[in-house]
Amino acid sequence: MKRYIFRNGMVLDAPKGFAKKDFAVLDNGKITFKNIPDRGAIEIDISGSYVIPSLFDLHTHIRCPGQEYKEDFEHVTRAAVAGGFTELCSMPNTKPVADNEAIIDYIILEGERYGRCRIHPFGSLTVGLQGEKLARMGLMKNKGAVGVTDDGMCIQDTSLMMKAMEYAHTFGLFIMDHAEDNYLKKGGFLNEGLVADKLGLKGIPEISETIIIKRDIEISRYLNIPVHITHVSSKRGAELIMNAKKEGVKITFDITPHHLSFNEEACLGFNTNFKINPPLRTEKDRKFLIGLVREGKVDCLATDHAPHAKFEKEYPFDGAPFGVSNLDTALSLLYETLTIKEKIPFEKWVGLFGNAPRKLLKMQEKALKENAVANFAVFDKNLEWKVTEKTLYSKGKNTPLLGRKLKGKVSFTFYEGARVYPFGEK
Amino acid sequence: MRKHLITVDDLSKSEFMSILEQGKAFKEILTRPIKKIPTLRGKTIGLLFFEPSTRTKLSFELAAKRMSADIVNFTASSSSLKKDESIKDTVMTLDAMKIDIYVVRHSSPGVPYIVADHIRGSVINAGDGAHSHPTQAILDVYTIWERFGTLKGLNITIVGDIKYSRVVRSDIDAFLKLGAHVTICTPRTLLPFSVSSLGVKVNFSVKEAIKNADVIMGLRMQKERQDSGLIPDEVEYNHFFGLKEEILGSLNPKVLVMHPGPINRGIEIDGEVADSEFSVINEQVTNGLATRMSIFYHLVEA
Repeated sequence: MKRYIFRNGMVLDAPKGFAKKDFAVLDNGKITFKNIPDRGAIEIDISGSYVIPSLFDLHTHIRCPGQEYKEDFEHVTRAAVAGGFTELCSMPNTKPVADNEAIIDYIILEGERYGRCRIHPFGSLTVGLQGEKLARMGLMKNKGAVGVTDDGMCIQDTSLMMKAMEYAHTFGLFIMDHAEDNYLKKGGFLNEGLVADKLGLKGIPEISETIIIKRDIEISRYLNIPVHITHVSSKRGAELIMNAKKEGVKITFDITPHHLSFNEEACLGFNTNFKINPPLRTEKDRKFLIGLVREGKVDCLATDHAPHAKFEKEYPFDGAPFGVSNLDTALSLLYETLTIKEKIPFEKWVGLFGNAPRKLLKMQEKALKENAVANFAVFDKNLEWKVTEKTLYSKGKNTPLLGRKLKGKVSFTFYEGARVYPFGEK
Repeated sequence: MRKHLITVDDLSKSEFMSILEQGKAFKEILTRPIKKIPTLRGKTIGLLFFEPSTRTKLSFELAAKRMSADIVNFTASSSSLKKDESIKDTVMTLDAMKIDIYVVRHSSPGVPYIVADHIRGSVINAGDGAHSHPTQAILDVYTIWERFGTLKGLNITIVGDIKYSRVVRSDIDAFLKLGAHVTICTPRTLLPFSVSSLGVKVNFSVKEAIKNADVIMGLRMQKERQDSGLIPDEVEYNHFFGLKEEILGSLNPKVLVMHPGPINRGIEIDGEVADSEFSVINEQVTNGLATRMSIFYHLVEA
């Protein structure tokens, strides 16, 4: 492995904030601030760049095995490291579903094969995500599953959800729920409201999210088992969680970059790349979620990276699949939304995409300290780039940012001591 | 001694001990060439099995025969209960035939109390739903007591389907009454809701739960449990909650492995464990006979 010296970067020294420091990555893959070699290293001036512990995504649809036409291991791991992520939590809605130990084993081993980042699989709560029979959560955990969820196929039967949570808790598994009432959501395509009416499309009411959040709060309280609500989209949903936390309920939640950056009005041009589930809500909802980030009340961020094939998003709005491709652009988009526009300092929120989810999953946190194995990203806040199908490494080009310029981009990513981005010879 | 034995709570500690002591004497009789004694001559025992049972019924029947009692059998399938006769009417009819002791098994919790209210004799509960199974608890206690001389201070670990088990409920009551420490090990979906007030420890890992155990008891995984969706399947259950061959190496030589039977080999217990030198599963059956004789004796003496 080559040696690297990075000069003049702003290195995150949490919780103190950024400090200008030189550092090197040595042959052994470890970081040093004190013993920077005199020669034999590639020197890079990163003035104007932030150096942060590499990012962690709690919610990635890797689509493989089974839907490689949307995304595959090669592309998803490239998109991840190009976006600063070295750890991804894969969602179980693969084909076949990650509902047994063999699929979990396959995902981990296949992820390792590319050597760019780590994939931490989530298993499903129920067999085939069918909401009928408990999956083999214990055996999946033994093979390396870090959590369980029926993401996208929220269990509707409350009694089964309770059993699933109790069973998962037996093995100390992290339980995540995509809060959605199927009956209320049925046939909807975007937020129920003015925009949906204007476009002549059936809406998805906010209550389809809040009623399940409320249910999960009650289950969590009654059983005293922690639960995590992913991609909270509404003000009301977030308020319910805040209140439950005050009562001591062990509930946590995440928000996605798109729910922080866009509102329902984005759908006005029938752009299917804004068709997301849960849907983009109102500006009031968005502002409220941003306020929570500002106040440090969000447990973590998550991409809900949902790549789709181009032809699928070319269907009419009501026929196109839900989801947005996110890994490549998540950090840049949030930098624009939160730091440039909303003036929330980078160091105040960037950890929500790094050590915050690691902490939720009780994993080792990454730090930029002497002798630590290099797991970091360099984010050049001045680098302007244009989002095009070519600049995206994900196979899924379904992002509403296509054609747009963003300011700020990851320029280097190191994973377990090795440079994994930019690609090419290390 | 009270007139009925419906739950373990019907017995004081000294009555319990007296049943055990007397059981020892009856067990000795069972080793003789001639195993019959005249203790219950002239007494009539009614076996009222409203729910199918092979082993428990056989054990009671043989216990009664060894003590020279007369036996009448009443099983739900061959009875007029099919014609919607109430339990009360059935029992009153039987009582008119002057039966001394009723051994009752029923799928509904509380039925032995209904029987007791309408008869003049004694009732022995042979298992009522998920409520209670005191004679199983007594034979389990006997098996441990015979080996260790006391239950006081012993660590007893129960592994398996606990939620709807009448055996566990009665066992826990009896073990705690006699001063043992009880640990239970099962998936959380199979734990009773009120587990925190039972006075037992809970551990989700078999390996940890049996670490300091003097007694390890496996429980039958009931087919209905899987159908009710409380566990994924037998493979995962066996992996995490089965008493597997691997445990044998870590046990100290005095450990007793027990199981109320019938066993599901390869599900809650591996054959290697059930047939190991630690296993007293067949001994439990013999002890069931001896202690049921002792229970009859105590009810008649009362």
